[in-house]
Amino acid sequence: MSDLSADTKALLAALRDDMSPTPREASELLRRVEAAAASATAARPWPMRWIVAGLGTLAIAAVMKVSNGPDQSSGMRKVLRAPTAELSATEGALPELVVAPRHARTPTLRDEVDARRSRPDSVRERQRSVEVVPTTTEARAATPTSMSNETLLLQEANVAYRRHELDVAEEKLQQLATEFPAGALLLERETLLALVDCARGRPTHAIAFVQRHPDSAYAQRIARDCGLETGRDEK
Amino acid sequence: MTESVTRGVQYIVSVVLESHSERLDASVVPSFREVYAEHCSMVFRTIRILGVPTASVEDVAQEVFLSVHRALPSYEPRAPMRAWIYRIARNAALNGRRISHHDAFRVPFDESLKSPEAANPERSAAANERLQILRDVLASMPSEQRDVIVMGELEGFTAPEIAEVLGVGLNTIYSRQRLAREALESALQRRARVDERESR
Repeated sequence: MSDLSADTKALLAALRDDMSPTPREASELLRRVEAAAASATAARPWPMRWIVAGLGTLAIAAVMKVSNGPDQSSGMRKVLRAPTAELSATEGALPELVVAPRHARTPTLRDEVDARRSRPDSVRERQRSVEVVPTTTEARAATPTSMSNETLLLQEANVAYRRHELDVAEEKLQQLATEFPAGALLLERETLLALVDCARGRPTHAIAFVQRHPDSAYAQRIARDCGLETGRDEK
Repeated sequence: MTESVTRGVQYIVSVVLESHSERLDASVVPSFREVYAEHCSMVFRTIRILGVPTASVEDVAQEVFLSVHRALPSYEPRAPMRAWIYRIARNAALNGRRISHHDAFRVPFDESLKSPEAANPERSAAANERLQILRDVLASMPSEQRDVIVMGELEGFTAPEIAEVLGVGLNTIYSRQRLAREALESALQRRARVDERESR
């Protein structure tokens, strides 16, 4: 299969850089998306609430009916086996029962689900490289700021690298590692660290990065700038 | 009576919770922020390179990530996420495009979108000119060839991934890649020769 010349590949890489967003653009878009998503979520009722409210109402209404009937001992079994029939049978009781159980029980379910979500030993938690997506309004409001701070630091490191002020770049990267050890821009930080090390004639990080992320676009850039093989060259 | 109600509700809640938590535990879907951090650049590039006007780039990108945000809980981890997001971005870009590919590629790169530091002052005028030539050449390519160049050479998709995203056979992709690379090389050389003659 024909392959592109080195010149054309370099040109494409330059175009790629030009088309990429700046850290500021990336962080601004994240802020916009999260704000839009939050307002969309607030406008839409949580489906689980409706399910639980409906089921809770059904259960209470059914149990009340059964417990008022002649055979109270088998009431629960009847409810669980034939909820639909019980619902239609207790239709008249629904309006006054809807409100109370819905508000009384929904937080319990949410608490439980949140607890399961944030369970420390779950696969989800172990694989996560950024903080858990916040569920409260206060936390949501706080995260864009930390994202912005991380972005700004990374940008400063990047500028220092471009100016070949490697000490400054390293200092900023170290600060990033300290303040955002599992930040949202971890991959970008590792990329820059590899590039800075390369510029110092230490390709260890670069080689490790390329081996770890052979298909990453960042690996391509690192390989290009550090003169490494990616093992992903053309078919 | 109260005990019966409590037991009934507890049972039903436990059933609901069980099914819900099974879904949670089964999913190893990354968080939205992880997805965003990993794919943000690709989405921007795709939108820009497919001809969305500069003024609309952020709006289209927002639309893409809102779609991702909505669909993420039901995302199937077995499917390659990068290809999935690329497909969303490509569709959004094609839907959101208001000017032709040609116009989009010929619009000079909007430096106002970049920070002054990112403008790369080290790049020479000649290098900028070569970039513009590349944009022109890509703009003049048939879309199926441009797709494989953008996906394969810019974004590093493998041929099977490109085939999956574009919904065509693998052999077709290989064939398009070969033709696209040849076309790109010869167009760049042609343009270089013309520019060289004109500069004399």
